[in-house]
Amino acid sequence: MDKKDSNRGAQAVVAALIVIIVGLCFLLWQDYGRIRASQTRSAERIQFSQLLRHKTLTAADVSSIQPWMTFDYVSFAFKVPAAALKESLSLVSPQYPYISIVRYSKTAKLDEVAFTAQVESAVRAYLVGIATSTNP
Amino acid sequence: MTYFLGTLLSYILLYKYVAIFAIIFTGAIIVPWPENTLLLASGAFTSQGYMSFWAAFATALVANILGDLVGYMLTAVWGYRVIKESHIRKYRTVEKLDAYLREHAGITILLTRFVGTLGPIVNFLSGLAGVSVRKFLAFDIAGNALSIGIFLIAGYILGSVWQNFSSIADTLGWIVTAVAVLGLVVRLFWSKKRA
Repeated sequence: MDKKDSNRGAQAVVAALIVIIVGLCFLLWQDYGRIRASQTRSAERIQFSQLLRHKTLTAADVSSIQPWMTFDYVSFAFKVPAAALKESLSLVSPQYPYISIVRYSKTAKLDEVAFTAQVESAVRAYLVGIATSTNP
Repeated sequence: MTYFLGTLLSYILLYKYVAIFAIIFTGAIIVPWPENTLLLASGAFTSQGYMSFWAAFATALVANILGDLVGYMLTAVWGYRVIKESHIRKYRTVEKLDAYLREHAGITILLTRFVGTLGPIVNFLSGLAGVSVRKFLAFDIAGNALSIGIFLIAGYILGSVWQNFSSIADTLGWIVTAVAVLGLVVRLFWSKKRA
C-alpha cells in the first residue's frame, strides 16, 4: 500500500513538473515572439558591432531611461554633464548625482512616471542642442 | 520590471562592486535574488564602460565561491549534529539524495551553478553528504566561472537592450531548474523501483 502511494506521489510530481516545463516553454516562446515583433532582435545585430566600440547612446535611445537608473549613470551613458542635467531639471538634493530617479521623485514627492519623462526630455534636449551646435 | 529588481539595479549602479559582492554572496548562501538578471545587467554596464568587466567578473566569482563555501561548511560542520540532536528521522529519500550526491557530486555541483535556486540546496547537501572540500571547490569554481562569464558576456553583447532579454534569461533559468528537478525525481524513483 505504501509502495503504491509512493509510486502515485512520484508520478504526480513528474506530471506536475512536465506541465510546468511545457508552461515555461510557452512563456519563453511568447517572450521571443514579443521581442521579434518589436524588432529589437534585428536592431540588435546592428548594435552589436557598435557596442564593441562602446557606443555612446544618442537622443534616439532616451526611451531606455528607467526610474531605477541613477543620475550619475544616465549622465555617463548619454555623455550629458551631471551639472547640465541638474540645472535643466532644477534638482536639489545633496546626494545628486548618486541617487536614482525613483528615489529622487519619492523624496521630492513627484510622480515617478512623469518625472522619468522629464529626465528623458532633458537628456534629449541636451543631445539635440549639442548636435545642432556642432552641425549648424 | 519589478520594483524589487529595480532597487537591486539601483544599488549596483550606486555601489558597483560592493553591491555585486553583497548580492551574489548572500544569494549563494540562501537568498533567492534574481542573480542571472543582475549579472546580465552588470554585463551591459561594463559594455558602456561604467564598470570594469574583469573587476565585475572577479568580484562576482569570489563572492559566489565564498557564499557557496559558507553554505557547504554550515552543513559539513553542524548539519549531521543538528539532524541527530533534533531527532529528525532520516527519510529514505534524503538517504538516496545523499547517495546520489556522493556518486555524482562533480557534475551536480557544476550544473547547479547555472541555476540560482538549486545552487544553495546542493551546497547544503554536499556538506551533509561529506563531499570533500577539494572536490566541492574544484567543481564550484569551474561552474561559477562558466555561469558568471556566460551571463556577463551576454549582457556585454546585448548592451542597452539587455532589459528586453531579462525575462527570457529568468524563464530559461526556471526551465533548467524544472528539468534538473525532473531528472532527479525520475532517477530517484527509477533507482527505488530497481532496488
